[in-house]
Amino acid sequence: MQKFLQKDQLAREEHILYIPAAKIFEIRAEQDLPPMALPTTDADFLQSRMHGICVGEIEAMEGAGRTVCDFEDVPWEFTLDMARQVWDESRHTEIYERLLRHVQSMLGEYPESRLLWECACAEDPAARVAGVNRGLEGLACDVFAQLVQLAQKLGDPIIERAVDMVLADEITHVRMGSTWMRKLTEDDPARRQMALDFQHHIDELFNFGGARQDGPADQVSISISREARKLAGFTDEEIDRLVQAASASAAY
Amino acid sequence: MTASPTLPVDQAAEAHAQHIVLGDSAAMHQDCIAQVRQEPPDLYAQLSAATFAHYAVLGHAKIGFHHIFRIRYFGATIVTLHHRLGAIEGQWRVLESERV
Repeated sequence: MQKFLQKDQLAREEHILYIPAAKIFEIRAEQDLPPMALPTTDADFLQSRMHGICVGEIEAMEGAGRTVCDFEDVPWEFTLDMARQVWDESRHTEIYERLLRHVQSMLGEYPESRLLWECACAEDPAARVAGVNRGLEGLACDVFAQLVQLAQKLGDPIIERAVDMVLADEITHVRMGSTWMRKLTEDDPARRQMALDFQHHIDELFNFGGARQDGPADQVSISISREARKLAGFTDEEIDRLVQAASASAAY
Repeated sequence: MTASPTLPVDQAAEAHAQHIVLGDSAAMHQDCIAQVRQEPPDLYAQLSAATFAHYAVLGHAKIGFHHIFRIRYFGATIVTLHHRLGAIEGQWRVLESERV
């Protein structure tokens, strides 16, 4: 079986359009829109955000599945945890597909950038779990906590409860990633640093040039959730570092 | 502020696809803005030279206020394109077409 699949090798139904993130940002800029949808600029913010999460869950499912397949020289328990994550992500995909219908949207109404998949392609399993489970699932903690707050404001208990349930899983995925990053790099500080550097690279990429901020859920594109990140096991120092990097990204 | 197009965007996309299948080069160009982006750069010249029997709309996605259609053209060769449409002065116009 082929290992380390590239983004153009992912199987999709034809109604789901793949358009690279840079191109999406360029098309939005042409319309004087910010790179990512904002609650304040995009009337269909909820639909487009739900869609981004839904395709993200599909890619997360594929990413965890590829981790099961890509790495043979790892502890059996690592492979088992990744297989469990595939099951979680497939359930999340179903939940978000139904939430899309709940907000009168559907899979394919917006393009898929596959940016998450690109970040799931590290060749070292320690870097992969650092980037995916700590970087991307950390991002999911931010995005989902924001969505829960927005749902509370909208008075929509279906979105609020469904997303809160998925958030609980994401928190366990971050914890699992932290555990495995440490175990796989025991007695190898250089490898651990490389894994952390990869995670920081992912964090920076998903600051989206300032779209992620330490701000109110209904005003910024992605608000950093200290509470969810702490539950996931990120230290105050790590969260402060992310906030600083995000604001530096905005200044840049 | 310019008026919104009255024609639904999917009908505008299908009209463009129909012009491509009919080989109606003048109508094809009328559907597009003057500086339509093409990938490859001579895409419309290639389409004018080709013969298609029919087309199928495979997908329709939104980016902001723009709409992207994935349309497959069937003929001696099979070509799949993304057409991006935006509202210009009350009409849907093709802003970009690319082969995918």
